[in-house]
Amino acid sequence: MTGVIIVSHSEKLAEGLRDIVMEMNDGSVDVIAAGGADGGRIGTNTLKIKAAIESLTKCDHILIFVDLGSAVLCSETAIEMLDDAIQEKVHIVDAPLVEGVIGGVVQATICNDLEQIIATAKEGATLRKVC
Amino acid sequence: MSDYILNKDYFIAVIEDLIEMAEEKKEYFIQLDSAIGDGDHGMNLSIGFREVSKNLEEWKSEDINTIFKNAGTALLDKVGGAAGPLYGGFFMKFGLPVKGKDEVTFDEFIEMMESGVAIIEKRGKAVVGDATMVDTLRPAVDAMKKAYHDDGCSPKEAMKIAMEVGAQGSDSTVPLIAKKGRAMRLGERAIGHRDPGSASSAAMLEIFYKHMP
Repeated sequence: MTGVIIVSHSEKLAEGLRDIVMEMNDGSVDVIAAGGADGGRIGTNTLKIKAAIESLTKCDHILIFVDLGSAVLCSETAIEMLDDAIQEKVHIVDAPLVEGVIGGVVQATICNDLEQIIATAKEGATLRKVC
Repeated sequence: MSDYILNKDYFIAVIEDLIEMAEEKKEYFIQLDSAIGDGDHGMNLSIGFREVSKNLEEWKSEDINTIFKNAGTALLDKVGGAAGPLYGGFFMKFGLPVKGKDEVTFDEFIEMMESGVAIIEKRGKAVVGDATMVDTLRPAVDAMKKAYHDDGCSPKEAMKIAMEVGAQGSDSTVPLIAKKGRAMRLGERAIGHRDPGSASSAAMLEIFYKHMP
């Protein structure tokens, strides 16, 4: 089973993206929105991300999708704070946030292969929307 | 020099002054960060240190490491930007070399600084010249070590040199093209602006100096 964590500077953006992707999720992927700084301010919160990871430890792998800047730094810090056994499961995916989360979650409903899921998420970077 | 001791009162005075500094310089940091970043550095530090202030009284009976670990965790939780994991990490690692102690030697103090700065370098993946807080902190700690170990300076003299070298390090970010954070995306437009993190780090070093016996 795959766990997905959405880390955006905006709590609403993370939750909104979760709403979208849950429409395409058959329930086999756990998706957690961990956006915003403490108190709903714009920013990112290491401890919120850490708690999200901890709630997904039953998953085989945990993928973190980030918007930019401190979302990466806070995610890395959260991972560092956890035990090695958990750390090994967690991957920050270098993909666009919206397209990456949607591609990754849909792929994760089809298979449980980490590399395939990450590869599909990353394809979001080159996805053409207007042909 | 081995009888030179920094006790818990010193470290508490430093934290109390950091709390004041975060308020006093809030507008200044906001101004610096608005020019090249997202403008949240001043507000973030203020919110973070207010949380420290709220709880400091309660932590005072703990050992030096625990006090800084608690302060670091508060910053990690409350500071929304990159400064959260960076300063949070600094304080969480700062006391680690002196776990359980209520006073430290200057050699131990140098270890504490090294431990704190190392985590900022690691997390930020930054080196001197990237226009970040590392431009202030790395040369400052290196200069402090050299002054104390090689040049026969007293602890307070060594910390003074660290403060001065740190301030110069912050000055050195003004003409640089930033390599990290939002400022990185500005390219040459970041030239002529002081990095806000380098400025808050320089202010922190000043406080570490000011209270030294």
